[in-house]
Amino acid sequence: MSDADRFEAFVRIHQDMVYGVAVRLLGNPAEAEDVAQTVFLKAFQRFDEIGASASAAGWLRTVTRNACLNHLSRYRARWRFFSELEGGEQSDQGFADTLPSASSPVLDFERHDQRQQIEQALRGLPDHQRVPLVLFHLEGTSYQEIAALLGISLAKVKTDIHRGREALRRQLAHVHASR
Amino acid sequence: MHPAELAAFVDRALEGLPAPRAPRTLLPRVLAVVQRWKERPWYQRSWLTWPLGWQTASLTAVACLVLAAALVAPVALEALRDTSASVAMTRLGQAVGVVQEIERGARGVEATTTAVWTIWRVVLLPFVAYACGVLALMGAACAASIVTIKTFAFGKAISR
Repeated sequence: MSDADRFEAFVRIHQDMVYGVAVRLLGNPAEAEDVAQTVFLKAFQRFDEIGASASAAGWLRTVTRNACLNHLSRYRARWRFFSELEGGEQSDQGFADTLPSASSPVLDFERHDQRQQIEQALRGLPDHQRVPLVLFHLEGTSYQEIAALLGISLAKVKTDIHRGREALRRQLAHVHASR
Repeated sequence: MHPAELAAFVDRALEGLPAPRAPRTLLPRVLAVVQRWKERPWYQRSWLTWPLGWQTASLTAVACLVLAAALVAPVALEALRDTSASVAMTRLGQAVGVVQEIERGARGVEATTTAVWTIWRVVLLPFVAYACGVLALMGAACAASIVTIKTFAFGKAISR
């Protein structure tokens, strides 16, 4: 097997994981694909070291997470502004109202299965809620680690995660109620 | 809903979510960008991706440049001292009629320059030359460490 074939096989094995982490953190499939492409280019540059390594998956997950956070950091000022608005609860309620309704021809929840509905609801969360929520529930990151990664206080992490959970619960309840 | 119940609800909702499938366009895009990267000459890529030999050579070249600058600087300082600022200022003073004050100032400049030159030659030059030598050795040691870490750290993971 040539090096090119080995690398292609490597990408096929790990692409779902890398893309999955990216799309859940970024909430945007196109951006997630861009980040995944960048991550695999970095992997290729270090392929001699990680190609056959047992820690390749962990390395890829870490690099993907950091690449997504760097990508989001360009919008961090806007992120912090919206997350610190007074009446944060109002902004959470407003979030649910901005989503397409279940009967919308664009997004027909009745034809998606439950998992896809959860995935869509997760992607629909605002960045400042989705990112900590994904890092905590799906990446197994602690509150302290999330605070360090995002450069925010521990209290803010807990608040944003709580609001994200509330928004997710309301959206899923909204979907089930509209069936 | 109680926060603990809410956390459990979200955990249940997210638990077992399968990883989203990567789009079919991702693999071709990755292969294309890798191919474009491979076609770039090595010196147009990040320094960290240079061949180890070139990394070591560039570090050594930089260290030698710093050392050469440290050796040339005393010569330049000596030339500046020998230029005799007092002579130039005396001539200028004669031209405008304030010889004595300018001479006083020139002596001060000469004294300052001599003091700086003495401090450089006696105190700093031996240290700078030593520091530059150490810097060159550190550069070589760093390159050797990187090779060792790459070989043993990732080599151990492969052999597991």
